[in-house]
Amino acid sequence: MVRGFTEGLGRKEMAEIKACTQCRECLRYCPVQEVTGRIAIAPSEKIRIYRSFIEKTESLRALITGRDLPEQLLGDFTRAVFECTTCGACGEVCPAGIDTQRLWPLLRREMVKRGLGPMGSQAEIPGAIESTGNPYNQPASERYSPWFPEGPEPARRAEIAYYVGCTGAYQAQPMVRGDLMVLRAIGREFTMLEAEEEVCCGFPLYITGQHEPLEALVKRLVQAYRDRGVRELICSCPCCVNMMSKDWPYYYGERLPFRIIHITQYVLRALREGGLKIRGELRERLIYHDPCYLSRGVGVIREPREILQAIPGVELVEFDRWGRLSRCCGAGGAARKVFHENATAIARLSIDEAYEKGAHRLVLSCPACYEKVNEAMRGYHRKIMIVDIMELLSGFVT
Amino acid sequence: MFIIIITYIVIALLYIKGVMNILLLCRAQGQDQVYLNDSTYPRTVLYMLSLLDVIFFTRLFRINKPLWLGEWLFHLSFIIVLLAHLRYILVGLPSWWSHIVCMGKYAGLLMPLSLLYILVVRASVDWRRYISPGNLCLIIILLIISVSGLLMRYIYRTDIVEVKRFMVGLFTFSFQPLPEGRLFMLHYLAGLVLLLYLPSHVLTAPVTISEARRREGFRI
Repeated sequence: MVRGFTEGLGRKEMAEIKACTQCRECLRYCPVQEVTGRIAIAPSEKIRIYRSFIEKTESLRALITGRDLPEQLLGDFTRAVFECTTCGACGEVCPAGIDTQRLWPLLRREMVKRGLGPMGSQAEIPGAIESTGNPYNQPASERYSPWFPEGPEPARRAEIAYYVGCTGAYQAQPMVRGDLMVLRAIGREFTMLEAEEEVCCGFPLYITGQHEPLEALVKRLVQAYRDRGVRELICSCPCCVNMMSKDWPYYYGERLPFRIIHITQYVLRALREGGLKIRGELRERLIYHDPCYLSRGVGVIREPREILQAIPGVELVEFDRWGRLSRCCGAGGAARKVFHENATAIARLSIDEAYEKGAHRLVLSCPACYEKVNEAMRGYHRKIMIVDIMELLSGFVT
Repeated sequence: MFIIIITYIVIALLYIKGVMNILLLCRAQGQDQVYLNDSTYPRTVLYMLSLLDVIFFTRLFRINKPLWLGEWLFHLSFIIVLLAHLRYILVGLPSWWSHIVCMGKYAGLLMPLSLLYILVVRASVDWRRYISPGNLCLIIILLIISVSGLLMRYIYRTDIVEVKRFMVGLFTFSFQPLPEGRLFMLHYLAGLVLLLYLPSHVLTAPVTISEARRREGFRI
């Protein structure tokens, strides 16, 4: 039997596909539209085309006119759905409330099941994770060693655990180093998995529609934290936090035995309770970039700002689009390696705005943003210093 | 007779479309959304907010206030006009229905104005970019319906007794002659086209808007 385009969707997604009014409000906020201007790959167009796939293969018309779809159309759609950064800005401004940050990965999965996706190097991700535990195919033994700050080792068992994440560990090391220094300064005992034990959270697989290995991966990680008596799992990578809080329960098969929190939530709590003291001052104008999966994904917007404002002397300025409306840095959706030019052009929009607002430093709180913005500055005429929020804070708490 | 046959074909297609959509919805068995961060707000509050979101299009209000004004007025006037039109189909409506009919007079004027306003708001940004061909077609059909309706109401009056006899005849299978006038024919046929192209968001957007409220919690 021919596979239907509705088979991989839940009722919520089906309703969403039918709910798009084609108002095109999303076009004004889509970062890919900002740099390409191609309506053919706009969010509303993707939904319209997918809806037409359903109508052409599973409706009354399909029974009369046949179920064939042109290869070219399927190919173009696949490219469009993979060119997206899955930042979710389109869903945020959608008058019909379509949860696009969740919908795009499911449409990608459908195209993967049809053998049309993923794109380029994305296809190497499952193999890399299987052999090394991370999507970058880097040795598992080097996950912590190049950047791990000197000091006391994490506890074997503790109620609090810290998950480093692959992008932080291999591509944005100052960031995760800062995380550890701040966690140590708070002084509460915490645990970490061994370098070989801490594998990918599954987000790169999820976002590229390659969902087959997810269940085993998630069960392995959840069990490892459960064995260590963890009640609260801290992570600084917004993509991991998003994956853990929204999708781990599904693949684990039940409610997780621990809470997931972003590191800024944990640090702000420590600041409020007096467990963390800030020393010194910073007379700088900072601009904070909201990562898509932190702001729109899990709604952490206030916490990073309160932490930055807790540093005496800091002047915090905002992007025109901040919080839930923030613009993607270009790195999202595993598109940065495949659609490199788009990603760089998008990142440069943020660099330009931060530069024009006279910020001394651009503060980030996502390893993918950190890596992408850093990369986009190479060969660009405008430069701005970038710093991760914990990297910055670590200089005032230790 | 031709018009009557077309009417029944359109209604049959509408039914089939509806049934097919229900079947597709039943077929969808994918992964359901898991909410870990359960909302701390009482369910009743969220339901109330969802209802307000659906009635007042608050999501659109948040991002595009000029467009919101046009869209909200259009949808409001469309619903009132539709309710006022029920007097042509149903027999024995309560006496207070005359108030709705009276409101329908004003809503009938508001409808084409709001549609033109939507076009102007869209055109003020970038005409080709921000109006999808599908929506443009829909607006044109709605403009034809509303303008022809207004002309019949105020200038080239149509015998509403004949209209009612024809419409009731359709629903009771005792066919009556079509009311005279090309304007009525245009209005009626454009109405049938609208039924065929009725956007699916009419039924599904209230569901997705409510779902968005459940996802996002209390947020103005």
